[in-house]
Amino acid sequence: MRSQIEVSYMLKAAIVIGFLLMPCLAANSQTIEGSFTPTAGVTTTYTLTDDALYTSANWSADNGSVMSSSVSGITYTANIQFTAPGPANVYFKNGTTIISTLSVTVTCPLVRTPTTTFSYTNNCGNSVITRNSSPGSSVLWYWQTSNTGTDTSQPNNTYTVTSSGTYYLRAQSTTAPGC
Amino acid sequence: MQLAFPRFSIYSGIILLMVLFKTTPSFSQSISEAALTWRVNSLIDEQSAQNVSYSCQFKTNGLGDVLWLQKNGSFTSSFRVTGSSGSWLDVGVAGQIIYQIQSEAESGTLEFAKDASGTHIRLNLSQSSAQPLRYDFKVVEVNLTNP
Repeated sequence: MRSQIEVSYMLKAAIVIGFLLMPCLAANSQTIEGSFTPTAGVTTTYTLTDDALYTSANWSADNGSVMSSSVSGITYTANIQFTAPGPANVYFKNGTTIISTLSVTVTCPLVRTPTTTFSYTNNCGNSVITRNSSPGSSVLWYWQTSNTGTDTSQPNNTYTVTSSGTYYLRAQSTTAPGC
Repeated sequence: MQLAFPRFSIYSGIILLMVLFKTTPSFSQSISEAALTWRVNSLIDEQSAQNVSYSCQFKTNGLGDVLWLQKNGSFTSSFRVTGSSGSWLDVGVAGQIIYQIQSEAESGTLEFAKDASGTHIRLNLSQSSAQPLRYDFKVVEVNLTNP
């Protein structure tokens, strides 16, 4: 009987202490809000609402650039553009002190497969392949010798080859070079 | 016939006066001399005109550094006072003083003032890579800082 009373008393005390601590915990929480899966090359907005003002507030991101930032009241906002796909962190700092971090996974934007026609000019010792259309904005097409090639040295309309074979055009985002 | 007035003894009256004296803050203090605590319960962001519920305390100590206590005192910043203009001999009546302040690389002003709308602290702080911070803090209480 006595131990039941003691347990009940301790439970009540724990509940009361928990309720008393709740406002403190809530008051000190500061969480960055925004997309967990931002798209590389696309500007994404992140915000942090805090119960404190910072005199040296600043934002940064792994593999990303802060395009602009602002504060309104006690809400801090940053527009961030990531350049490469993969895991990354968004940081909100006061000076060099990290106040809050958000882990995200940067995804690739949709890059359309090149669609075009070709024309050829056969010369003595080489042939010149010409693509008859151009990629849209924010995309470049690169000539490749394999369908999985990642060579970015040949972005021109024409491609000069000296041996017969199959040649490919592959597309890459200019705002997200890793995609 | 006897009227039924409440019966206070002289001692009760003295105790009541002592309690009132103890709980009523004394405002006849000069900001340039006294150590004062200014309790804030809201702010206006002057850039966006946004009024926000927000609590903090400023602690002044004459012309010494101004402490800024946020998050119930767990986050403290300090403004170095590099100069001042004006004088405010009694923070209980209308008046104003402007401190020139420095906070790490940023500099600006911190104005303490009382007018018909109440007591305010206005922070204007430059930012190296952003727009300056301009906040108007509404002060709800000024007390002598406990030693």
